[in-house]
Amino acid sequence: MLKHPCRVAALGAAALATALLVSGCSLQPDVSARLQPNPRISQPAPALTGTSLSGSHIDLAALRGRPVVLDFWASWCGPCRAEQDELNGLVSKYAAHGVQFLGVDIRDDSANALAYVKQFQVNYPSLFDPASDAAGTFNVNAPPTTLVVDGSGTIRLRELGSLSDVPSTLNSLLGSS
Amino acid sequence: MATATRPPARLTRPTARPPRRGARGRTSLGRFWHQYTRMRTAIYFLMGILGIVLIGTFVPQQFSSADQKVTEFVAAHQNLNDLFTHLGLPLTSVFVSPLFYVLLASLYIALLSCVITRGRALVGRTLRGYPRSPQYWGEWGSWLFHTSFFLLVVAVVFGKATGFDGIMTITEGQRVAETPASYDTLQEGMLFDGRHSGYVVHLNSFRAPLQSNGMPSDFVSNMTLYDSGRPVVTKDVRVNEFLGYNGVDFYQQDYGWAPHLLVRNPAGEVVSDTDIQMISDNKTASTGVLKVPDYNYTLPGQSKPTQIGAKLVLYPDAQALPQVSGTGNALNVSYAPGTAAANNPVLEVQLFVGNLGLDNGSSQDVFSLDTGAMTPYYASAAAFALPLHQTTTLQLPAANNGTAGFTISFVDLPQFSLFHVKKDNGVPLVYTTFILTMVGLLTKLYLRPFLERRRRRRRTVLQAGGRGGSQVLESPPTTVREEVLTR
Amino acid sequence: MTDTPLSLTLFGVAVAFYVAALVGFLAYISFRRRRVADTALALVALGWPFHVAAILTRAFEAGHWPLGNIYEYSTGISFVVVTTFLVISLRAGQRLLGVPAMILAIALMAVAYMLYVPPGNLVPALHSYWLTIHVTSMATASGLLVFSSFFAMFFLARRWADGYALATAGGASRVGGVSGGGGAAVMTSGGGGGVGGGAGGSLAGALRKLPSARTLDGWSFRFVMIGFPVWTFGVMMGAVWGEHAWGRYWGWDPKETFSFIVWVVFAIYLHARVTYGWRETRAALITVVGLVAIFADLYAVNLWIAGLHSYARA
Repeated sequence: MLKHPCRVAALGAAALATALLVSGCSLQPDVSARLQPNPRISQPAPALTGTSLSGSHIDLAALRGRPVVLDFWASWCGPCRAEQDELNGLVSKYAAHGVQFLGVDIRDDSANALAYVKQFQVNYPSLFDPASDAAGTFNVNAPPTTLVVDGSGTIRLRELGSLSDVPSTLNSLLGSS
Repeated sequence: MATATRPPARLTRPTARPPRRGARGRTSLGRFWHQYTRMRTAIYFLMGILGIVLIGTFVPQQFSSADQKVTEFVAAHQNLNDLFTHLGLPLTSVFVSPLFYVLLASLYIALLSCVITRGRALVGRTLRGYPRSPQYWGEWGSWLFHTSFFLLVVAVVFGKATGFDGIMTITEGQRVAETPASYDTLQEGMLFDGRHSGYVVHLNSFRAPLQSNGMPSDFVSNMTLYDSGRPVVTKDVRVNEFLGYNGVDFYQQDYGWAPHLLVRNPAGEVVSDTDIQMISDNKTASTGVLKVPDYNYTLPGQSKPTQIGAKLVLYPDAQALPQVSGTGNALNVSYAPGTAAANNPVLEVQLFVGNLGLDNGSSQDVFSLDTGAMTPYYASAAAFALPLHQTTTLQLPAANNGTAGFTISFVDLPQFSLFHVKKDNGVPLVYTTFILTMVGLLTKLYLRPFLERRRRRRRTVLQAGGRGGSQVLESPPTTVREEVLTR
Repeated sequence: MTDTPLSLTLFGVAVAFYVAALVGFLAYISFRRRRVADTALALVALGWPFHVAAILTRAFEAGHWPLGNIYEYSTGISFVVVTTFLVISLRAGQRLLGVPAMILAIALMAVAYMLYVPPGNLVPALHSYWLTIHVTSMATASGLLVFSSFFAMFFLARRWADGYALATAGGASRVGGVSGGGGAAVMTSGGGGGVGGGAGGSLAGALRKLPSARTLDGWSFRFVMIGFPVWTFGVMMGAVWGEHAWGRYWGWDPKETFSFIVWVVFAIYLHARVTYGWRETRAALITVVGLVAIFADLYAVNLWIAGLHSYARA
């Protein structure tokens, strides 16, 4: 076979094409069907500044020194609503240990978001991000996405649609400091 | 594929082809390969593709036909569809079916094999100083034509695999960042690096001026694109004029009404203040759904706060019908669609109270209302009319058998614009292969006859001069117009 | 009702000339008088300027390139068909070609009339100079490729006529008439013998006025050679337009799909013919498949299958 380089090349192309086409069947799979990658874990958190739902100024950098739980949410998002009570539970457990909680309300209207905050008795501030600008810089594809940022400003955890690993991450951060 | 497994008895037949790697020990794999990459086989592959494509024209296809038609077809031909799906050809998505890809890949492998073999032969002949006859140029034309087809697929795959493709909705006055969270649907290529641009687009205004026949003469989105907070482009985007910046392109695709509704609960708090996207085919009547999940009001005797939802029908140019009940009760007025112009916008609101079903964690379609755990506001499920700039006050039960008033206001009637947003770096390559294909095809079909005619004319002149003997002998036969395109 | 636009009146005059010409060509089959055919040809040549004028006035009335809906498109293709026919018949003396050419031209114009739309604005999707490039090349290519099928059908007819003549010459006493000067003698002498043989002989005789089967096959190939690159160019320009307007150069929209089918059919024709020497009968059958595909692309897709190109109906 090696006497025929063209044949080898063609076989290579055949293998590649078959692998590409038959396995995936589509060159552009739907993003929502894809597993969430962890592209920014253990990377420094990008800058995050803006205005909160209640109108005050928010700057993630000002919270440096303490672990921060960053939750991207929206009032129309069913999974966000389902996990809000659990998130509130984490707040009451960890806020006393110096953990900061910060919401980022994406693709939303402020009145609807404020009604959500009132209904779920959310007691941490949320940055208002109707254009999903901050979601973009944090590579967040969809709410609810929860990040844990350590005191040095490094992203230590990223979870989509779940909070299950947040307590252990916070425990290890609090234990090590 | 069937032809590939056919016993290669035909090979033993004497053929005109010179036995280059001939009878000397061709392995069974080699024989398979030979059969597989023959042009006859390629033509069968092409015919197979043709068959699939024909199915694709007549059966509604996912992503290109309306979803409803696809569902209807699957429901009506359940067994047939199941059978074909097992055969690797799901009828409603033939263009992304395994069988289609296998045939395409086979065709392109055959094409690649042919292009390599012929290319080597041509280069060899050129190096050996083969005379530059018309036939020689014709073969180069044919080679270029086939090679550019191979390159076309490379360009398409490269562009799709390294780019993305999505749909984004923006309401007038809204700003949206080009990032995955902003899309209604988004497909990313397998080799896409995951880095979206983050450009923020602002829909300054949208207009769809109507002609006398009620059809829009044009639809235009005036947009500004911001790169890192700086406005870099402002443009009127219409069907044939897209907004492109650094490889990210925004195409005007569709538009619709987005009535701005404001809802206050009995405590007078604003619990919803939002633009609601409506869908329709003709913009003279469109439908949408209002959901107020955080109504912040608990009905007497219940433990949890209630939620409200509404099915909406918008008539931008509502024509009042004769009243059904004749009592003059506004709640019984019904409307018919007029034109698509916002001459008399009226919303028909069919209100529901109860549980929207959002809080159990499910993701819901914004265009549908699950009324399974809700009760109609009016026992008859009747709708009430809400003209533009008006507020309707309604009553809900309150403690001690009292009532509590709440309001719904139709504040404004902006429009939304739907964009196809994509990045495809393969497009310039695709266009290059188009040019190469045309050059190859024209060379093959026209340059050769042209050269032959010229040569014949020259030969006639030479013969007339009486010293054309050797020239004539050198000329290839000119009676056969066509020769082997491949192989 | 508003007044009939000038373009429609001119359109009607052109159709009237073509119908008269068709009658002439049909008469030519029966009487085989050169003068009849020449008169018919003259009628086509007289109708043609009206056809041109109909298209030009339509362009002025509508204010855009006159290929924006199916009325204009059908009128355009029939124009390509008539023009091509005139060129061939004047240069190569192909009179009998008038029958299929006129039938097709009249049919296209009848469809155009049935789907008539008064001159008006284009739908927004067509506001583009690509309309001129893409749609004009598709209409031209369609008009040219149908001639390859016409010649292929003539080839088949001529083959049949040759076979008929051979069979008659071998089996009956009426030998002299057939092999001598065509079928005229067959028709007259066969009057007493058998009606069927007479009619067949008449048709066979007329068909044997056609050029040789080999020549017809060559003409069929020549029109694929001309039409195929134009079709290829048109499809590619459609892809460029699709990219420009919608952001995708190919989407398996029904119209796109069918244009691909037509392209593949003629690509198979070229390959099969060139590689296997699939000339004549089998090649002729492929072009007939191509003809069916072209018309499916032109009408079936627009009228019965919804897609992005459906606006062409309005």
